[in-house]
Amino acid sequence: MKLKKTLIVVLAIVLVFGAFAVFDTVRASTFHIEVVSVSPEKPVADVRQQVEIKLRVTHGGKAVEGHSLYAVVSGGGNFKGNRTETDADGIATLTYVPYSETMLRPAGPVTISVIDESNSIFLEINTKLEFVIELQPKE
Amino acid sequence: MNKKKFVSLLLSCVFACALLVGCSGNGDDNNGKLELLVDMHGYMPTLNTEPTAESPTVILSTRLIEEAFEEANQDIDVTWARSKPVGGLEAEVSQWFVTQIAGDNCPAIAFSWGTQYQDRDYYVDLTKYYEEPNEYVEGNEHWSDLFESYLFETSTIRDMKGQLVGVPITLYAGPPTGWYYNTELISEDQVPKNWEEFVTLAKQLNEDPDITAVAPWSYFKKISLDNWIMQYTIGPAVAGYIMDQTDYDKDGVTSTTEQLRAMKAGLYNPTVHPYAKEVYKQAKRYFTELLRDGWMNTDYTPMWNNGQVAMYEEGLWALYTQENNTAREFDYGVFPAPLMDKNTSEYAIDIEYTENGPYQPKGDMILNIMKPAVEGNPELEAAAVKFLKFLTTPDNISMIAEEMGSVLGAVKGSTYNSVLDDWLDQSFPIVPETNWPLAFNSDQNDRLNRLFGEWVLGAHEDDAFFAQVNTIQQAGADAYIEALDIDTSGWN
Repeated sequence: MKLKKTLIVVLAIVLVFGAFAVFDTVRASTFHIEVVSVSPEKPVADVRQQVEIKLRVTHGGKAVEGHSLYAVVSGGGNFKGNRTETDADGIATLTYVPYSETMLRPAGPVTISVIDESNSIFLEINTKLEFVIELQPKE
Repeated sequence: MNKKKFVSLLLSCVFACALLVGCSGNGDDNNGKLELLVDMHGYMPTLNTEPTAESPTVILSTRLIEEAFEEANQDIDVTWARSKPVGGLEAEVSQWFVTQIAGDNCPAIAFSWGTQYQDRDYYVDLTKYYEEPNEYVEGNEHWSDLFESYLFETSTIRDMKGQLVGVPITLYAGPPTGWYYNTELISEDQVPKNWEEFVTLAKQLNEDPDITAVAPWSYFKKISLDNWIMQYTIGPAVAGYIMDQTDYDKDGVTSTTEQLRAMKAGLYNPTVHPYAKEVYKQAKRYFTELLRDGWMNTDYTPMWNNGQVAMYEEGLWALYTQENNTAREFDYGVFPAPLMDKNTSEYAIDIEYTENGPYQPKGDMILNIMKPAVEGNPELEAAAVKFLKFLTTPDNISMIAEEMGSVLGAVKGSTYNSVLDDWLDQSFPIVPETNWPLAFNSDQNDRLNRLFGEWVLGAHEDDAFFAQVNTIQQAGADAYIEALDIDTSGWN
């Protein structure tokens, strides 16, 4: 009897969290992150150059304010700040600092991964975006 | 043979095999390659090569350098000393070295703040190697030519015996610490240029009960002389005032040996010299005039984020943290520690400033070749030298400095990350190459700091305090001289 009650409680918890996960997964799919601009458009593999990346977050087509976006880069370089917030127009700006090309690390593509840290209600299931910036060799 | 004996014999064989395999430390590799164990502290490559939100920090530069070095030197296998407590305090690192040496597992190349353990005779003299060319960089006659010459006169590269024992990899981008300030509370033209301006500004800001003018570094939780105000603001200013007396060899630097000699000559004695008294009086002001009640038990981070702290003492290494701090809703700036000058006391120097950028930035990541690892193994020592030369090319140092972010490369012609641009685009005080000593020896330092705390809280009269300071400092100097077996003949 006791075991049966325990199993019922455990099952209930699992079902509740399962429902949360489904809810937030569906919710995450209703948010959209897009790249508005990358400036300069063809950045050079040079640490002296800073690349401004503007992103927009929308929900049902409408701009979303106050969402925290977190970005990481794979392939080299780093962000001046990995985290930024969307304004009233749903726009958030990141500054990417490329690596300088060397013999050991020639100019090439870097992959930027961005997650929306604010779209979930119950469990952290993030809306994501991944895009590539092709760093150009220095002339 | 009965069953028990058979099992015992089998287990003995298994353990013996394990012992033989496990004992392959530095210089002994089963694949026939020479194993070079390297500790680069926080610069060692991360195990993860792809950043994630949970683990955003990836260090790739040293991995690329390792792979390229091994490609070019197929007989050498570089291994990283991953057991090192990189985030630990100095005492933990100290113990780690002792343990590794005892276990015959000391890295051939290691980081230990330059010359921290010179009294344990840990470091290989690299002077002769610096006189050779670096074959990985075109056009140099001497490896030393790749670095600015002033670095070889710093006490973290040249030890007390005059030997060059450190190889600088990166430099601090100026002083290693600064004051992060809220630009809504302090405008750019209010940024203090000296200690007196700092004190005046802080007192003005403290008039607002909702504002805390000064928040000390979060690890400074007691009244002590062991803090950055003493180290970067007050100490160098007064030590600079008497530098013509303490720089015995007139090389522009008061070395630790010269500080000891000056201590034994009584030049730092506050019972005799008013300038020495001034050091402690000014250090006391910080605690009695600037800090809010309850500062020792206050976590200033939330107050900073809420815009209630005007100036926050922190390392330059925290620049990225501040950039990522979305809890902070105001803009911030960073200024270097303001030096004390004649606006405070006649016993201080006049400050000169650079136009922009720091003056002779000091070594941050400095590597040594460790004597306990390479002694009696010239092949291993040669491999270590080779790796350090390979590391110290402008391209490789640039890769490291750019990736680390808040440091400069130590090699001429190396680049740095542009996140430092705003910080570097300001004038920096030119700090004299000297400082005010505490008590040399850790036991005596503790005594001195406790005494200072008691004095600040009113437990001692000034004269009694100064007399005890001198006693403690003399005892510390004597202990250090004895520990390092320093020849004091010809002194004073």
